[in-house]
Amino acid sequence: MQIQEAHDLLDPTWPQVLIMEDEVSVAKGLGMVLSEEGYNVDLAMTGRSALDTFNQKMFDLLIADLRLPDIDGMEVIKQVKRRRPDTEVLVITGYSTVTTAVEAMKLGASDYLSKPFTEDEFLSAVKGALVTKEFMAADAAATPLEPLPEDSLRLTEVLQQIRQRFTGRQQEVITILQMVQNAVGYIPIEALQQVADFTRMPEAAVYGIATFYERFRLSPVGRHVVKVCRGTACHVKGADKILHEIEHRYKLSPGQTSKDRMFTLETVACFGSCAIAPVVVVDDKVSADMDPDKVGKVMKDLALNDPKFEPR
Amino acid sequence: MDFADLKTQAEREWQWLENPPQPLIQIGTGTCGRASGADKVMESVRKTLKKIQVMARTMEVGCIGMCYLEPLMTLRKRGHPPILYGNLTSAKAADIITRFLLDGDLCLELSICTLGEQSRNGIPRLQDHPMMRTQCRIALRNCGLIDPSNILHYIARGGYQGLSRALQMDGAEVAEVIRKAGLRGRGGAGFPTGLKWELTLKEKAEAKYIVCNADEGDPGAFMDRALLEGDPHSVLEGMLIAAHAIGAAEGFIYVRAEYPLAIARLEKALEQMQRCNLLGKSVLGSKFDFNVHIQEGAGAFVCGEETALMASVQGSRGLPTPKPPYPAQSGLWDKPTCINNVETLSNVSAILENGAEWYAASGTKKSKGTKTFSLAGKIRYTGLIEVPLGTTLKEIVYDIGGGAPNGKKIKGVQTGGPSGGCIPASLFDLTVDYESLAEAGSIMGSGGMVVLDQSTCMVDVARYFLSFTQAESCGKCLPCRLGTHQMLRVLEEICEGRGKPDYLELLRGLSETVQKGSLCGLGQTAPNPVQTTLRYFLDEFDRHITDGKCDAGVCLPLFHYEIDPQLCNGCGLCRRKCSTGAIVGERKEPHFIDQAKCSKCGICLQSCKLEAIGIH
Repeated sequence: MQIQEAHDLLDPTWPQVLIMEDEVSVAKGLGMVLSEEGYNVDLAMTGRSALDTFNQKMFDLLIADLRLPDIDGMEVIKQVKRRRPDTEVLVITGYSTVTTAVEAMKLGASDYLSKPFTEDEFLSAVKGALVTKEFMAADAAATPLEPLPEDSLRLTEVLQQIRQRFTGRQQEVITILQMVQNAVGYIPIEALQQVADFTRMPEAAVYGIATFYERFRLSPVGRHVVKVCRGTACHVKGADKILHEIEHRYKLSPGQTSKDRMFTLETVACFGSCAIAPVVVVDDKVSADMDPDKVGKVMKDLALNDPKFEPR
Repeated sequence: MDFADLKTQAEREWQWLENPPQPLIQIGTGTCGRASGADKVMESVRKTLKKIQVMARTMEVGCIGMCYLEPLMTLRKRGHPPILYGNLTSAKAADIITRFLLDGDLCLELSICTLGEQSRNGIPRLQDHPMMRTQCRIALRNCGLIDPSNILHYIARGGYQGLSRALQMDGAEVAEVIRKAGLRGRGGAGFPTGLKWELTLKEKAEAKYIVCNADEGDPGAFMDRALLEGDPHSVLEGMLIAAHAIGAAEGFIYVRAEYPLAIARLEKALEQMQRCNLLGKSVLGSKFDFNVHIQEGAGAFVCGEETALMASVQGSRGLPTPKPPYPAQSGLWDKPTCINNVETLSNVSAILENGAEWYAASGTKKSKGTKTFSLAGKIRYTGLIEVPLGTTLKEIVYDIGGGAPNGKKIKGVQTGGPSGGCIPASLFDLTVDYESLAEAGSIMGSGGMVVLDQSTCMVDVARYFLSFTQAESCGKCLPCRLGTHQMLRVLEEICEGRGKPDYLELLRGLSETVQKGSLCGLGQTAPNPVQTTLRYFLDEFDRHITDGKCDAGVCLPLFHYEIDPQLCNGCGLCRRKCSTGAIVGERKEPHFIDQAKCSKCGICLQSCKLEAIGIH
């Protein structure tokens, strides 16, 4: 049974969820809650039909009741995890005991919810389970990000320091722009004007410098900048595959920032850490010997430890 | 304080280090070490020392060059030769500290080698390790052995001795020493350093400048980073000697912003030099005044070219200008300027300390001394090495580098980065020096060596380098700007399986145009990777164009994976690893790949223990 048809505009990039629950009213209710939030939901009333549906489609999350009319819910989880280990599992049940909870976790369930629960508890458990699948940062911001209110404050501060430290000669201009970018994260347009003023250079010349050098950015970045090294050693050891993985998982291309401002993806010509290639540099910390799997973990840890992180 | 006092103090400190009254733990915390977890190892060591209540000192050192073993730790305790441990984790480090310091257990199973002349309990000496045996360390003489943030360590190992000697000579005499030593520029082109100094010295001007080029932009090279991180004073001393020789009072170090640790170490070193009267007015009491500024680059490869670099130091876009005038005549602010590479300067300080004859004893007739190389790519012992010029590629790749990992076949080696070329394994008897590499169509370059094995596609390598030079072309000269773009397009078509037989002629023609029609080294050498792959790996181009096959399994549209049903035992490992669910099959029955779902990520190939998955 599917309730997807009710939604005309389904976003295929949103998580696919399978709800396995034998009580029709509960199943439909949970299904409604999730599809209102934008998830793509399938329902299954028995363990067998759940496994059948599972065989036909890829799911990101299985929400499993343990008491079913035909097979044991645990058995379903076991089979699902064996076939596609990357499927997340959230267990819901009315007969919760510590032992069943532990058993479900051992099978790889990411959370456990005992009935009755509120809609909010349910939603946050679902989001929590999907965090591990990193759906939170999907969708890159197509247009440049808006500046944050604190940006102009930081700019004023750093410009003050610059005026004290430098004399305004042209040879200082690159160092000055570096300082601005380090303080604000990018070079705002008004900074270009002020730097031109201070160094007595034409604005066009300062703009020319800011656009010539690869390192300078003219628009805001996310809270974490992920840089994939594309040096020769990294290239022959699979840097492209790492880049594809990030592009695929977070729907980001180099130079883009995720909508939630969590990540900005960039590439760098070479970090000179070729002996431990391939490397990825996240917030100036070099991670050695990366592969598509490891880079996913590095980014997930970052997101989970970010104070502003909100699972969708 | 005068130099003699400084030297006495330094030697006292060094003796303490050689024979420490309390145990001393040194951890390599260069960028490679940190990336591999040296910070965590350091933290674990400190915690363990507290826990077992042993008084001991910890110290950060630079990179000893055995990057494949990072993180590395040296344990020094009275009565034992210093022992080096590698491939550490927090737990392993804690274990070693506890067992060694409490029970005197040397932890043989985790040890790599001893440092110094003694071996112990079957642990070999560093100089007997296969990676080290044929190396000869001049530029890297202190890397990994001293604390780079302690000037006394450098002085105790003979540092600033060369400068103090140079200050007693005049400029021409100093340049003469370098000319006699036969030192050639280590940035890649190999111009005789002594001659460069003489030319700059000859010019009459009220100001002259010395520039240290630390804009190590070649992808695949990290010698300069390791040197600046591990022994910044050796470079700075060389810079002072060069400045004295040409008569400059001001110097610039142009260093990549991608090397934050190198910048931090340089800043610290300059601060110490100030305090020791090695910078500023009358250096070491002589008539020589000198100041150094650090200029951070901003990510433009072309700024490694000297005229572009100078434009950047002056606060402009880094566009190259025609030569002549050469920098020696008209450089920074139109004043005579001498630009030397990091490694060149580190050699300079060693030559002034030990003499020209000593240096000229190693190397070949035309290429004297040693050269550092960064060994990376498909090779067992990745790291930083230094060998006498004239060593063969075979010795470097097989003896020092240990050959390819997992018993794969080595196809060739890429030297000189985007300006260099790919040398096939059949030419590995070639000696490494400026002339013979150029004859083979490559260049020495700054010293990047990326080893390529059978899983590397040479057409893809050529495409990779062109995509790099195309992106880094500053755009000033049309043949470079548009030529590299066209060459890249042709190569991309070949990699996508749309190549036509006449494309190879087209590539050859474009190569020649770009080479001849470009102003600076970037454009003149950009076609090298294409020309050498066409020369030595033509069969791979033919396979791509005629048969539509990429045998290395790199160009996605030109291969697919297949499971050999004869070999597959149905263990299911590949099925579980496959992220797209493309592998199907029953337990203990041969599996199959659903080609429509396969994303060709290659995880199955890596995971199969029976080698049942092949590239077709």
